[in-house]
Amino acid sequence: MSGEMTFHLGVTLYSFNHEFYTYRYSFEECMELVGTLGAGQGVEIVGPQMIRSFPELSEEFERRFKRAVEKNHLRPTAYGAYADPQRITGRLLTHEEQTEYLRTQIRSAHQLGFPVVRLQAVEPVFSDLLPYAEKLGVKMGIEIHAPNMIEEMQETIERVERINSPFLGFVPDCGAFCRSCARVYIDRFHQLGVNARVADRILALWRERPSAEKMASEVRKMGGGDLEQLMATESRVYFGHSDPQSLNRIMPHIVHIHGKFFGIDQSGTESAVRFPEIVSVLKNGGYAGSISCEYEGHHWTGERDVLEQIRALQALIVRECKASAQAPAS
Amino acid sequence: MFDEQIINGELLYPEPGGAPGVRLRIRLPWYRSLPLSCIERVEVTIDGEPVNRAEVSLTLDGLNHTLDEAAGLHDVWWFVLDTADLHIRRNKPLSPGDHPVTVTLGCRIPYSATDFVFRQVARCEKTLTLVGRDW
Repeated sequence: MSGEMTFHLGVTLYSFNHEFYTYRYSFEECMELVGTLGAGQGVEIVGPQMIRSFPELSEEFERRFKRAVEKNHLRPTAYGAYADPQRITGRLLTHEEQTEYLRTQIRSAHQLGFPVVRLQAVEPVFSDLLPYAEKLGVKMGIEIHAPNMIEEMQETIERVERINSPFLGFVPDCGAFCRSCARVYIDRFHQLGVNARVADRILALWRERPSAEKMASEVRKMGGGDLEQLMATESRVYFGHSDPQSLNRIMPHIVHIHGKFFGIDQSGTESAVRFPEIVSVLKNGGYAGSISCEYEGHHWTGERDVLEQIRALQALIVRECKASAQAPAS
Repeated sequence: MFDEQIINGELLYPEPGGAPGVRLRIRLPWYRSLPLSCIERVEVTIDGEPVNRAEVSLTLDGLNHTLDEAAGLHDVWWFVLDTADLHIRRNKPLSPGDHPVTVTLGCRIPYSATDFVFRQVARCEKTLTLVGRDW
């Protein structure tokens, strides 16, 4: 197999969350930064992060977005939509409300030129929304994010297989495939003064995959307070235990990938996500869609050069593609 | 990252019209816009004294809402880059100058399609300076 990449690289603007929230970079500046990675770079947005008129799309944003795509030679890849079933106080959205809310967002994605909309596994996605997505030519991708695991999603996977439409599939988030918790997360909790003994126990427990309740009670027993409980919760929701090989189970139905990562060190190693294996599985599986690099170290520190981090991840992916071409086929 | 950001700026402003209240600017403690229905907790202390929930209201895009009203506003979106004005009604005026203020904002992050509720809580403590009219 050749060392050529079968898939396309891109960036989700969510990577710049810290800089965007603190007014350091505007939407246009984020787009320019992505453009510096080279012509044809993919770009993904989170709808309600960038669009003031969310869930509707204003003409103003449509114009700004298309202008920035053209100016920076970008390729729209995926629109981050939200089902938000608990949006109304005191009850879940009805089927009709849920359908309408997501239909509006699929329409926004289409008008902006996105071929994929990332969403969550709510009922209308499997029924009422499918003909609409098909009509607009937008693929719906159900995100698979820690603590969920491909290995434990048999029912949803079978449903998608039965429907067997190119307009319904999955968006795996690479944070689901971790070998450990991220360095930046550990460092931040120590900086905040976490009890070191409890912190070590949380990291050890993470490897055993206890339930949320078991983790919380262990932390409580050791005298952990709010900070230690937060550290325990975050270990479960950010750092998943799936095996990259499990991607093979859904390979034909992957419509897009979130290249989630937390921080790449000077040796070019990502501290938590099992990238070498993920890249090799995707390449050998013939995945031909996009990967949005999604830097999320910003949850614990604002003191990283995000663009440099993204460059480092893209270099890692290219390097691993070449390496997996030289390795005997598995 | 949100805790230290939710009180925007360093100032307390006197309310116009002579009523002895103050207002300050706050940010949404989340990475993306949420409807006001998801703002579940807004707790304020000034000079260490907790403010009664009924004395607190929010102004977003020029419209003022009590916290109970906000709970019903699932189509009013708080854009992630916007500040909201947090108004605090008072019986007696606050003296000009510095006042320690804490704000706790709790949001329902409406992801789940089950009974499970994910909540994001951010807390910020800052010394703010009351400017404007000399009370």
